[in-house]
Amino acid sequence: MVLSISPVFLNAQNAADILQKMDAQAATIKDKTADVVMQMINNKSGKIKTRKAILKQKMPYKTLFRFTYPPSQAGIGTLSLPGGVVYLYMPAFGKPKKMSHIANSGAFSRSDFSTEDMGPRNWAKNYTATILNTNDTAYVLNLIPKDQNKKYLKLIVTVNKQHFFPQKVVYYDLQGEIIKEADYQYAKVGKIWTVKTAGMTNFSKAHTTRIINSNVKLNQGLKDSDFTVKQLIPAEKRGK
Amino acid sequence: MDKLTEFTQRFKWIIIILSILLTGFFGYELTNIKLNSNVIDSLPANDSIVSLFKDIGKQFGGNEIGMVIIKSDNVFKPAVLKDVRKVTKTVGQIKGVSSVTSLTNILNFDGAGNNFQVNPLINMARLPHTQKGIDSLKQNVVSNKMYRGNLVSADGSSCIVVFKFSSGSDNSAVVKKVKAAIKKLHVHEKIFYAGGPFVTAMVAEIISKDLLFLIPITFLVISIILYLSFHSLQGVVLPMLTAGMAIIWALGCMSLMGLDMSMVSNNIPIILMAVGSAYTIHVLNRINQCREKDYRKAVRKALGHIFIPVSLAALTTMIGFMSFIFGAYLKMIRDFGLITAMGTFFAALLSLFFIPALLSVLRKKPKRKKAKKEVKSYLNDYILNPLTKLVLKHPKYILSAWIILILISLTGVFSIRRSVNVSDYFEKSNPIHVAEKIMNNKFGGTRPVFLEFTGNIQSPAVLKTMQKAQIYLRKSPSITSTQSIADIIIKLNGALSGKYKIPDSEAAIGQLWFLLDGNENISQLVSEDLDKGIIVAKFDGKGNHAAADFAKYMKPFLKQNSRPGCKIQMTGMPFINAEMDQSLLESQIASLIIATIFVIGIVSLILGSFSKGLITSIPIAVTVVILFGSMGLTNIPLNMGTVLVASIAMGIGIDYSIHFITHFSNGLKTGLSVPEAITATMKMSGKAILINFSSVAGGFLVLVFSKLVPMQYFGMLVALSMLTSSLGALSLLPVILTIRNKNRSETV
Repeated sequence: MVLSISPVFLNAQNAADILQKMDAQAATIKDKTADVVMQMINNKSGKIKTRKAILKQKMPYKTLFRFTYPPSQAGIGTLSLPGGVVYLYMPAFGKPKKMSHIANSGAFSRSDFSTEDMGPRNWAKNYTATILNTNDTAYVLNLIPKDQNKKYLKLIVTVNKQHFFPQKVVYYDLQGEIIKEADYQYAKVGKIWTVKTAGMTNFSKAHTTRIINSNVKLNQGLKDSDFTVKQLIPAEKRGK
Repeated sequence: MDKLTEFTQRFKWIIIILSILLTGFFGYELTNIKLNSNVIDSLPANDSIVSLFKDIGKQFGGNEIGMVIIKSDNVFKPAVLKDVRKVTKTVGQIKGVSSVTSLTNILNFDGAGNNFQVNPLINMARLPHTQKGIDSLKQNVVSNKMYRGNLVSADGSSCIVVFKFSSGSDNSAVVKKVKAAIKKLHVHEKIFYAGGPFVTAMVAEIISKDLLFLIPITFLVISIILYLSFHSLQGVVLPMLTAGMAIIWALGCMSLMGLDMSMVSNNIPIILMAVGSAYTIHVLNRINQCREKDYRKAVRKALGHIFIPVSLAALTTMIGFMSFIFGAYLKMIRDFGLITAMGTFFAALLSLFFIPALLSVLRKKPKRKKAKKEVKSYLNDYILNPLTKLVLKHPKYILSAWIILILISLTGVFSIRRSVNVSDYFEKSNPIHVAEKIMNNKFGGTRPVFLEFTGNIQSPAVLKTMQKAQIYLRKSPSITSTQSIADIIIKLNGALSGKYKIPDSEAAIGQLWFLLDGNENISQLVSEDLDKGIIVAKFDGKGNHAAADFAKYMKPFLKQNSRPGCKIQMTGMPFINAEMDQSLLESQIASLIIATIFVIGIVSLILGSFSKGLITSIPIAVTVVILFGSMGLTNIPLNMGTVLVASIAMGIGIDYSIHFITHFSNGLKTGLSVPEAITATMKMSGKAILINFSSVAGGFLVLVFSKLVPMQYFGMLVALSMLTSSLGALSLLPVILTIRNKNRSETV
């Protein structure tokens, strides 16, 4: 008997491999610090609002932002911990507050990136993939969310063939219309490829958010103690 | 005149071909015509209140809000809340909707100790199932002024799903999608739709339906009247052909000039069909009366007689329409006046050149059937002869009857009410009318007042003035609720610091803004540059003076608190409605004065005597008095439809008196006595006047079937005016002429 392998099976197998490789690529980053510039662009009026922050991140799910710009928001800090717990520190209000609803308190909630867009994606766990297309430099995958309460019908993701990081993600709503589109540019820090700039356009809101990372340092061995509520308060104010 | 008729005969083919080519050209242009049913677009841009209102609508997206009203006995019942959630979710998934807010997805923030809680207002996973739980939830939500009257009615019987249209989306398409998607849900509650885009879409739907439905009916009604009058196919086809071509030319010009079809101008085809066919009727009538065997001679002779009366009739009608160009407040009414005047001109032009040219080519005199004689006899035997006898034998009776009618009408003239409310445009059964009623009764109305603050919106001083303004606004009986960024800052500050007030430091406000930045709902209250903020106050003042009284109430506050760095300006629909209301009266007076001066002036000029001009105008003056009297006595309001009637009635109705007095004067000139001249005029012009009245009134009466209430009244009142002006010309005018010529040998 001749063994035959279905092309569909082969495709699924390959696509699943790609997702695992994407997760493996993401997992090369254990922790990260960076200076972040966030530009929120109103595509209708052309107006741009800028925020700047210092980022500290320990994978997975521990993120500390300390905002430095605009001046009215300088000193504000947010700490995101596993389980959707977020603490907010605002200098004018003293002690950090625990926020009970992440969607309205995360550092990215004002941008077009959702918290999920910014954190580890767990591609293989969360999506079923098929390869739509392949070219010299990239795979184009069709990803179907596994979650029953999914927000998106599908994602079309362009994945770098050599390094397995996503270059472009197109989000389709449950009616099959494109609602968001993200693009990512990468730079090599040491031996690791990491996002240098990321853009997300929300078509229904005619709004784009662009995040520019600079001074990126990876895998410095950040500790859990760097991500405590106490760390949200600037050192000079901690004793007060 | 001979040269003109000679010209028509000589260049008949050129005239015919040119007319056909122009019809083709304008017909093509007609396909590009756009429909704009938004009244706000028609408001004058140079008015400060209007321009501020438009700016606020544009900047804060106030004109792009839709509302789905969900009506039940108690919206806090789990089954109803689940339906509200279904509607919220469904609307949110529609392309073209950028944000949705309802009881089931709004987040409530609160502070407790070191926690800052942002939770859904209603926990949909743990809905109450006991009556006690339902009552407690209802009490908890409706007691909060941020939700009561905004998302849920105070009695808990209705709630609204508010959504914002995406920028640049096709609102009418989104409206259709929202309605279709909600229909598919088969929810158990009653659903209504409110908000500017829904009203605009409904008006557009009615306009389109009216155009499709009413034009064929008008065509049919006028055709039947014409056939009964002439009993010849030519007598029906040629007037309708003229009217049809005039409509195409006028609407083609409308498209070329970049003017949109509106809720007023959608009646242009019907009006032009009624008015435009009349000129060809006169031309045909005159040709029929010529006894020349050579048809071309008959056309030439008829044109010689009819050219001036038809031109004059068209000119006076055009003046009636043109009076709106100078007298009206709304652009849509000015556009209507211009295009209808142009259409009238085209109809007259076609009647005097194209129709004679066409008849010369056909070289066939319309067949007179026996039936025509019967109609003629019928009109003479049952209407004109008895009326002539009455006029000649009992002029005092007629005069007394008219005086009584005038006196009765005068009692109504002063009780005319005015109406500019959008809900009054629709029939009471129309869903938009019902939705407006619910919004008025349960959600404090749909007429917001805006207070715009210009200054640094993050400054404590500006926010404190905003809060002060809200407290002052709420003291007015006309205001049901207010909303501003100051409320949100106070609530946020309270949740974070326990102090429910505007923070004293700008730094604290700036940091609170971190939680608000980019929030879609905030963009409805604060500009992107944070240099402008608005208070949205719901106005529920009753009566014509409520807006003026409220403006008076606000004046000292604005004067005391508006300052450099915190400039306060006020606008809103109540003030625009008040201006529109006032403008209706002013427009009416202005257009009537313009029409009166020009009509009397032109009639005097053509008849060569000012006194003749004045006498000719008496029946139409009486018509106007009866028109306003009837409106007052029957409670028909002066609105954007009925404001048109008086000037149009004057423009069209004066024709009857012109025809009568012209024929009467000619009669006297040929040596007839006054009674003989009146008898001859009644026989000859009387019939034409009655046929013309029937076709014009019949055409306008079709508007009774319009779904827009102002247009129904418009149709009825124009028909009534045609009746009174034709009756005036056939009874009051001969009586006045008899009295005036009693002891005189010369004419008039």
